Amino acid sequence: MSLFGSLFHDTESKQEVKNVLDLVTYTASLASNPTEVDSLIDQVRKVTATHAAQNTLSPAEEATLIHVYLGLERYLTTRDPIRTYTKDELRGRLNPDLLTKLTQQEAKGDA
Amino acid sequence: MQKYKNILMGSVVVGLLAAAAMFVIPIPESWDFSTFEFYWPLASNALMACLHLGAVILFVLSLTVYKAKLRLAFTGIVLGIIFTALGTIQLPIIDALDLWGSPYVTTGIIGVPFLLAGFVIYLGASSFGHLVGDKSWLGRKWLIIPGGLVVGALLGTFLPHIPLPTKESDFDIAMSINFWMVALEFAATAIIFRIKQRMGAHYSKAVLYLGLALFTGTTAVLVATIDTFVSPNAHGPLMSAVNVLAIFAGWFWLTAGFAFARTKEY
Repeated sequence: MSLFGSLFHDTESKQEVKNVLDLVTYTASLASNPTEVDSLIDQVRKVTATHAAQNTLSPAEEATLIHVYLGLERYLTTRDPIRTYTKDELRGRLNPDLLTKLTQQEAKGDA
Repeated sequence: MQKYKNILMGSVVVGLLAAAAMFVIPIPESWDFSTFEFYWPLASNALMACLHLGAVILFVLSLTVYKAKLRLAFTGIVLGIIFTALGTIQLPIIDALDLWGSPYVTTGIIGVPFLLAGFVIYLGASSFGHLVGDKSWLGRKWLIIPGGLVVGALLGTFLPHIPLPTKESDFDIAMSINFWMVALEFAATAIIFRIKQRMGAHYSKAVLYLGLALFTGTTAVLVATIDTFVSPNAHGPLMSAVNVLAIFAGWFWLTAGFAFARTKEY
Protein backbone atom coordinates (compact mmCIF):
# COMPACT_ATOMS: atom_id res chain seq x y z
CA MET A 1 0.00 0.00 0.00
CA SER A 2 1.31 3.44 -0.92
CA LEU A 3 2.24 6.10 1.58
CA PHE A 4 -0.93 8.06 0.76
CA GLY A 5 -3.16 4.99 0.47
CA SER A 6 -2.12 3.81 3.90
CA LEU A 7 -3.11 7.11 5.48
CA PHE A 8 -6.79 6.22 5.86
CA HIS A 9 -6.28 2.49 6.16
CA ASP A 10 -7.70 1.11 9.38
CA THR A 11 -4.96 -0.88 10.99
CA GLU A 12 -5.39 -4.00 13.04
CA SER A 13 -5.84 -1.69 15.99
CA LYS A 14 -9.61 -1.81 15.55
CA GLN A 15 -9.86 -5.55 15.62
CA GLU A 16 -10.38 -7.77 18.60
CA VAL A 17 -7.17 -9.44 19.76
CA LYS A 18 -7.60 -13.20 20.00
CA ASN A 19 -4.03 -14.46 20.02
CA VAL A 20 -1.64 -13.69 22.85
CA LEU A 21 1.27 -13.35 20.41
CA ASP A 22 -0.61 -10.66 18.46
CA LEU A 23 -1.46 -9.00 21.75
CA VAL A 24 2.16 -8.82 22.83
CA THR A 25 3.37 -7.68 19.40
CA TYR A 26 0.81 -4.92 19.19
CA THR A 27 1.26 -3.78 22.78
CA ALA A 28 5.02 -3.59 22.28
CA SER A 29 4.44 -1.30 19.28
CA LEU A 30 2.79 1.23 21.59
CA ALA A 31 6.01 1.84 23.51
CA SER A 32 7.38 5.22 22.53
CA ASN A 33 10.91 4.10 23.43
CA PRO A 34 11.09 0.36 22.61
CA THR A 35 14.65 0.03 23.88
CA GLU A 36 13.22 0.29 27.39
CA VAL A 37 11.18 -2.89 26.84
CA ASP A 38 13.86 -4.79 24.93
CA SER A 39 14.45 -7.31 27.72
CA LEU A 40 10.76 -8.23 27.62
CA ILE A 41 10.76 -8.51 23.83
CA ASP A 42 13.74 -10.87 24.05
CA GLN A 43 11.48 -13.33 25.84
CA VAL A 44 9.01 -13.10 22.93
CA ARG A 45 11.85 -13.73 20.48
CA LYS A 46 12.82 -16.87 22.35
CA VAL A 47 9.25 -18.16 22.20
CA THR A 48 8.81 -17.39 18.49
CA ALA A 49 12.20 -18.88 17.64
CA THR A 50 11.26 -22.27 19.10
CA HIS A 51 7.58 -22.18 18.23
CA ALA A 52 7.74 -21.67 14.48
CA ALA A 53 6.89 -25.22 13.41
CA GLN A 54 3.89 -25.61 15.67
CA ASN A 55 0.40 -24.26 15.20
CA THR A 56 -0.69 -23.58 18.75
CA LEU A 57 1.20 -22.20 21.70
CA SER A 58 1.93 -24.56 24.55
CA PRO A 59 0.61 -23.53 28.01
CA ALA A 60 4.16 -22.65 29.05
CA GLU A 61 4.70 -20.45 26.00
CA GLU A 62 1.36 -18.77 26.54
CA ALA A 63 2.22 -18.13 30.17
CA THR A 64 5.54 -16.57 29.12
CA LEU A 65 3.81 -14.29 26.63
CA ILE A 66 1.18 -13.25 29.16
CA HIS A 67 4.01 -12.48 31.57
CA VAL A 68 5.58 -10.31 28.87
CA TYR A 69 2.25 -8.60 28.20
CA LEU A 70 1.85 -7.76 31.89
CA GLY A 71 5.34 -6.29 31.90
CA LEU A 72 4.53 -4.20 28.83
CA GLU A 73 1.27 -3.12 30.38
CA ARG A 74 3.07 -2.04 33.53
CA TYR A 75 5.55 -0.04 31.44
CA LEU A 76 2.86 1.66 29.38
CA THR A 77 0.72 2.54 32.38
CA THR A 78 3.54 3.90 34.53
CA ARG A 79 6.79 4.61 32.70
CA ASP A 80 6.20 5.42 29.03
CA PRO A 81 7.80 8.85 28.55
CA ILE A 82 5.19 10.42 26.29
CA ARG A 83 1.85 8.95 27.15
CA THR A 84 -0.01 7.26 30.00
CA TYR A 85 -2.31 4.40 29.12
CA THR A 86 -4.75 2.79 31.52
CA LYS A 87 -5.13 -0.95 32.03
CA ASP A 88 -8.74 -0.77 30.88
CA GLU A 89 -7.78 0.99 27.65
CA LEU A 90 -5.12 -1.58 26.87
CA ARG A 91 -7.36 -4.53 27.68
CA GLY A 92 -10.37 -3.12 25.86
CA ARG A 93 -9.65 -5.07 22.69
CA LEU A 94 -9.03 -8.49 24.23
CA ASN A 95 -11.45 -11.30 23.60
CA PRO A 96 -13.06 -12.78 26.74
CA ASP A 97 -10.97 -15.97 26.74
CA LEU A 98 -7.71 -14.07 26.57
CA LEU A 99 -8.86 -11.61 29.21
CA THR A 100 -9.73 -14.50 31.54
CA LYS A 101 -6.31 -16.12 31.09
CA LEU A 102 -4.68 -12.77 31.72
CA THR A 103 -6.55 -12.03 34.91
CA GLN A 104 -5.98 -15.57 36.17
CA GLN A 105 -2.23 -15.30 35.68
CA GLU A 106 -2.25 -11.84 37.19
CA ALA A 107 -4.15 -13.17 40.22
CA LYS A 108 -1.42 -15.74 40.72
CA GLY A 109 0.93 -12.85 41.35
CA ASP A 110 2.45 -12.35 37.88
CA ALA A 111 2.31 -8.59 37.52
CA MET B 1 -11.39 8.96 13.46
CA GLN B 2 -14.18 10.38 11.28
CA LYS B 3 -13.73 13.80 12.90
CA TYR B 4 -10.05 13.84 11.97
CA LYS B 5 -10.80 12.68 8.46
CA ASN B 6 -13.34 15.51 8.12
CA ILE B 7 -10.80 18.07 9.28
CA LEU B 8 -8.23 16.73 6.81
CA MET B 9 -10.62 16.67 3.87
CA GLY B 10 -12.19 19.98 4.93
CA SER B 11 -8.79 21.66 4.97
CA VAL B 12 -8.09 20.45 1.44
CA VAL B 13 -11.51 21.54 0.12
CA VAL B 14 -11.39 24.95 1.83
CA GLY B 15 -7.83 25.38 0.59
CA LEU B 16 -8.82 24.67 -3.00
CA LEU B 17 -11.77 27.07 -2.71
CA ALA B 18 -9.52 29.74 -1.20
CA ALA B 19 -7.03 29.18 -4.04
CA ALA B 20 -9.84 29.55 -6.62
CA ALA B 21 -11.06 32.71 -4.86
CA MET B 22 -7.67 34.34 -5.43
CA PHE B 23 -8.44 34.47 -9.15
CA VAL B 24 -11.13 37.12 -8.61
CA ILE B 25 -8.55 39.59 -7.30
CA PRO B 26 -7.93 42.17 -10.03
CA ILE B 27 -4.35 42.49 -11.26
CA PRO B 28 -2.94 45.93 -10.31
CA GLU B 29 -2.11 48.20 -13.25
CA SER B 30 1.44 48.49 -11.97
CA TRP B 31 1.97 44.72 -12.37
CA ASP B 32 4.85 44.09 -14.80
CA PHE B 33 4.77 40.31 -14.98
CA SER B 34 2.48 37.70 -16.49
CA THR B 35 -1.01 36.83 -15.28
CA PHE B 36 0.26 33.41 -14.17
CA GLU B 37 3.02 35.03 -12.13
CA PHE B 38 0.42 37.13 -10.32
CA TYR B 39 -2.13 34.43 -9.55
CA TRP B 40 0.00 31.31 -9.04
CA PRO B 41 1.77 32.48 -5.86
CA LEU B 42 -1.47 33.86 -4.41
CA ALA B 43 -3.44 30.68 -5.15
CA SER B 44 -0.74 28.27 -4.04
CA ASN B 45 -0.14 30.16 -0.80
CA ALA B 46 -3.86 30.31 -0.02
CA LEU B 47 -3.99 26.53 -0.39
CA MET B 48 -0.78 26.11 1.60
CA ALA B 49 -2.13 28.30 4.45
CA CYS B 50 -5.34 26.24 4.73
CA LEU B 51 -3.37 22.98 4.80
CA HIS B 52 -1.16 24.38 7.57
CA LEU B 53 -4.20 25.58 9.51
CA GLY B 54 -5.78 22.13 9.28
CA ALA B 55 -2.51 20.62 10.50
CA VAL B 56 -2.47 22.95 13.52
CA ILE B 57 -6.03 21.93 14.44
CA LEU B 58 -5.18 18.22 14.16
CA PHE B 59 -1.98 18.56 16.18
CA VAL B 60 -3.80 20.47 18.91
CA LEU B 61 -6.52 17.79 19.02
CA SER B 62 -3.89 15.06 19.36
CA LEU B 63 -2.23 16.75 22.35
CA THR B 64 -4.82 15.69 24.92
CA VAL B 65 -3.56 12.14 25.43
CA TYR B 66 0.10 13.00 25.81
CA LYS B 67 2.14 13.86 28.87
CA ALA B 68 3.06 17.48 29.64
CA LYS B 69 6.62 17.29 28.25
CA LEU B 70 5.48 15.99 24.88
CA ARG B 71 2.68 18.54 24.79
CA LEU B 72 5.31 21.23 25.27
CA ALA B 73 7.46 19.78 22.47
CA PHE B 74 4.44 19.59 20.18
CA THR B 75 3.47 23.14 21.07
CA GLY B 76 6.86 24.23 19.71
CA ILE B 77 6.26 22.32 16.50
CA VAL B 78 2.72 23.70 16.15
CA LEU B 79 3.99 27.25 16.68
CA GLY B 80 6.59 26.52 14.02
CA ILE B 81 3.88 25.49 11.57
CA ILE B 82 2.00 28.73 12.29
CA PHE B 83 5.08 30.93 11.89
CA THR B 84 6.08 29.15 8.67
CA ALA B 85 2.60 29.63 7.22
CA LEU B 86 2.52 33.30 8.24
CA GLY B 87 6.00 33.86 6.82
CA THR B 88 5.13 32.20 3.53
CA ILE B 89 1.72 33.75 3.01
CA GLN B 90 3.05 37.29 3.40
CA LEU B 91 5.33 36.89 0.37
CA PRO B 92 2.75 36.90 -2.46
CA ILE B 93 0.85 39.70 -0.71
CA ILE B 94 3.99 41.82 -0.54
CA ASP B 95 4.69 40.91 -4.13
CA ALA B 96 1.19 41.69 -5.38
CA LEU B 97 1.14 45.04 -3.59
CA ASP B 98 4.75 45.74 -4.62
CA LEU B 99 5.90 46.36 -1.05
CA TRP B 100 9.44 45.05 -1.51
CA GLY B 101 10.83 48.53 -0.84
CA SER B 102 8.77 49.08 2.32
CA PRO B 103 10.43 49.33 5.76
CA TYR B 104 8.77 46.04 6.73
CA VAL B 105 10.88 44.31 4.10
CA THR B 106 14.03 46.42 4.09
CA THR B 107 14.45 46.30 7.89
CA GLY B 108 14.24 42.51 7.83
CA ILE B 109 11.03 42.16 9.83
CA ILE B 110 9.78 40.03 6.96
CA GLY B 111 12.21 37.29 8.00
CA VAL B 112 11.15 37.21 11.67
CA PRO B 113 8.37 34.57 11.26
CA PHE B 114 10.84 32.24 9.51
CA LEU B 115 13.47 32.71 12.20
CA LEU B 116 10.93 32.09 14.97
CA ALA B 117 9.72 28.99 13.09
CA GLY B 118 13.26 27.63 12.90
CA PHE B 119 13.82 28.16 16.61
CA VAL B 120 10.60 26.71 17.95
CA ILE B 121 10.60 23.74 15.58
CA TYR B 122 14.19 22.91 16.50
CA LEU B 123 13.47 23.26 20.23
CA GLY B 124 10.32 21.15 19.87
CA ALA B 125 12.06 18.41 17.87
CA SER B 126 15.00 18.41 20.27
CA SER B 127 12.72 18.00 23.30
CA PHE B 128 10.79 15.25 21.50
CA GLY B 129 14.08 13.44 20.80
CA HIS B 130 15.19 13.66 24.43
CA LEU B 131 11.85 12.25 25.58
CA VAL B 132 12.23 9.09 23.51
CA GLY B 133 15.87 8.63 24.44
CA ASP B 134 17.64 10.14 21.42
CA LYS B 135 20.89 11.54 22.76
CA SER B 136 22.58 12.47 19.48
CA TRP B 137 24.60 15.68 19.03
CA LEU B 138 21.79 17.05 16.88
CA GLY B 139 19.74 17.56 20.02
CA ARG B 140 22.42 19.58 21.81
CA LYS B 141 21.01 23.11 21.75
CA TRP B 142 24.25 24.72 22.95
CA LEU B 143 25.98 23.25 19.89
CA ILE B 144 23.38 23.45 17.13
CA ILE B 145 21.99 26.96 17.74
CA PRO B 146 25.36 28.80 17.73
CA GLY B 147 26.78 26.33 15.18
CA GLY B 148 23.85 27.03 12.85
CA LEU B 149 24.42 30.74 13.30
CA VAL B 150 28.08 30.41 12.30
CA VAL B 151 27.21 28.31 9.24
CA GLY B 152 24.41 30.74 8.33
CA ALA B 153 26.67 33.78 8.71
CA LEU B 154 29.40 32.22 6.56
CA LEU B 155 26.99 31.25 3.78
CA GLY B 156 25.03 34.50 3.94
CA THR B 157 28.13 36.65 3.86
CA PHE B 158 30.41 34.85 1.42
CA LEU B 159 28.13 33.24 -1.17
CA PRO B 160 28.27 35.24 -4.40
CA HIS B 161 25.06 36.84 -5.62
CA ILE B 162 23.71 39.02 -8.40
CA PRO B 163 23.91 42.82 -7.98
CA LEU B 164 21.12 44.08 -5.72
CA PRO B 165 19.58 47.51 -5.06
CA THR B 166 19.79 46.98 -1.26
CA LYS B 167 22.83 47.58 0.96
CA GLU B 168 25.27 44.64 0.95
CA SER B 169 25.31 44.42 4.77
CA ASP B 170 21.48 44.31 4.96
CA PHE B 171 21.41 41.53 2.39
CA ASP B 172 24.14 39.56 4.17
CA ILE B 173 22.35 39.78 7.53
CA ALA B 174 19.00 38.77 6.04
CA MET B 175 20.53 35.80 4.20
CA SER B 176 22.56 34.74 7.24
CA ILE B 177 19.36 34.61 9.28
CA ASN B 178 17.66 32.60 6.53
CA PHE B 179 20.51 30.06 6.40
CA TRP B 180 20.55 29.90 10.20
CA MET B 181 16.86 29.04 10.19
CA VAL B 182 17.39 26.45 7.44
CA ALA B 183 20.22 24.87 9.46
CA LEU B 184 18.02 24.64 12.57
CA GLU B 185 15.14 23.14 10.62
CA PHE B 186 17.36 20.58 8.87
CA ALA B 187 18.74 19.60 12.30
CA ALA B 188 15.13 19.26 13.51
CA THR B 189 14.34 17.11 10.45
CA ALA B 190 17.28 14.82 11.16
CA ILE B 191 16.15 14.48 14.79
CA ILE B 192 12.64 13.54 13.69
CA PHE B 193 13.97 10.83 11.34
CA ARG B 194 16.12 9.51 14.18
CA ILE B 195 13.02 9.46 16.38
CA LYS B 196 11.24 7.47 13.67
CA GLN B 197 13.94 4.81 13.90
CA ARG B 198 13.53 4.60 17.67
CA MET B 199 9.80 4.88 18.33
CA GLY B 200 7.34 2.00 18.42
CA ALA B 201 5.50 1.01 15.25
CA HIS B 202 2.31 2.65 16.51
CA TYR B 203 3.88 6.08 15.94
CA SER B 204 5.92 5.20 12.87
CA LYS B 205 3.65 6.64 10.19
CA ALA B 206 2.95 9.85 12.11
CA VAL B 207 6.64 10.53 12.69
CA LEU B 208 7.44 9.74 9.04
CA TYR B 209 4.94 12.38 7.84
CA LEU B 210 6.31 14.83 10.39
CA GLY B 211 9.81 14.30 9.00
CA LEU B 212 8.60 14.67 5.42
CA ALA B 213 6.76 17.88 6.30
CA LEU B 214 9.85 19.36 7.91
CA PHE B 215 12.12 18.25 5.08
CA THR B 216 9.86 19.61 2.33
CA GLY B 217 9.16 22.89 4.14
CA THR B 218 12.82 23.48 4.92
CA THR B 219 13.81 22.65 1.35
CA ALA B 220 11.27 25.25 0.17
CA VAL B 221 12.87 27.92 2.36
CA LEU B 222 16.35 26.88 1.20
CA VAL B 223 15.35 27.09 -2.48
CA ALA B 224 13.70 30.49 -1.87
CA THR B 225 16.89 31.70 -0.21
CA ILE B 226 19.03 30.45 -3.10
CA ASP B 227 16.64 32.16 -5.53
CA THR B 228 17.39 35.45 -3.79
CA PHE B 229 21.05 35.03 -4.73
CA VAL B 230 20.48 34.24 -8.40
CA SER B 231 17.25 35.91 -9.46
CA PRO B 232 16.53 39.65 -9.74
CA ASN B 233 12.87 39.15 -8.76
CA ALA B 234 10.59 36.60 -7.14
CA HIS B 235 9.10 35.34 -10.40
CA GLY B 236 11.63 32.84 -11.67
CA PRO B 237 11.23 29.06 -12.00
CA LEU B 238 12.83 28.50 -8.60
CA MET B 239 10.08 30.46 -6.87
CA SER B 240 7.44 28.47 -8.75
CA ALA B 241 9.15 25.36 -7.41
CA VAL B 242 9.07 26.90 -3.93
CA ASN B 243 5.30 27.30 -4.17
CA VAL B 244 4.92 23.66 -5.21
CA LEU B 245 7.17 22.57 -2.32
CA ALA B 246 5.17 24.73 0.10
CA ILE B 247 1.95 22.98 -0.96
CA PHE B 248 3.57 19.57 -0.47
CA ALA B 249 4.88 20.70 2.91
CA GLY B 250 1.36 21.81 3.87
CA TRP B 251 -0.01 18.43 2.80
CA PHE B 252 2.62 16.57 4.80
CA TRP B 253 1.97 18.73 7.87
CA LEU B 254 -1.72 17.96 7.49
CA THR B 255 -1.14 14.23 7.15
CA ALA B 256 1.29 14.29 10.09
CA GLY B 257 -1.37 16.02 12.20
CA PHE B 258 -3.92 13.44 11.04
CA ALA B 259 -1.62 10.51 11.74
CA PHE B 260 -0.75 11.84 15.22
CA ALA B 261 -4.42 12.39 16.00
CA ARG B 262 -4.99 8.76 14.98
CA THR B 263 -2.37 7.52 17.42
CA LYS B 264 -4.93 8.29 20.13
CA GLU B 265 -6.71 5.18 18.95
CA TYR B 266 -5.34 1.68 19.42
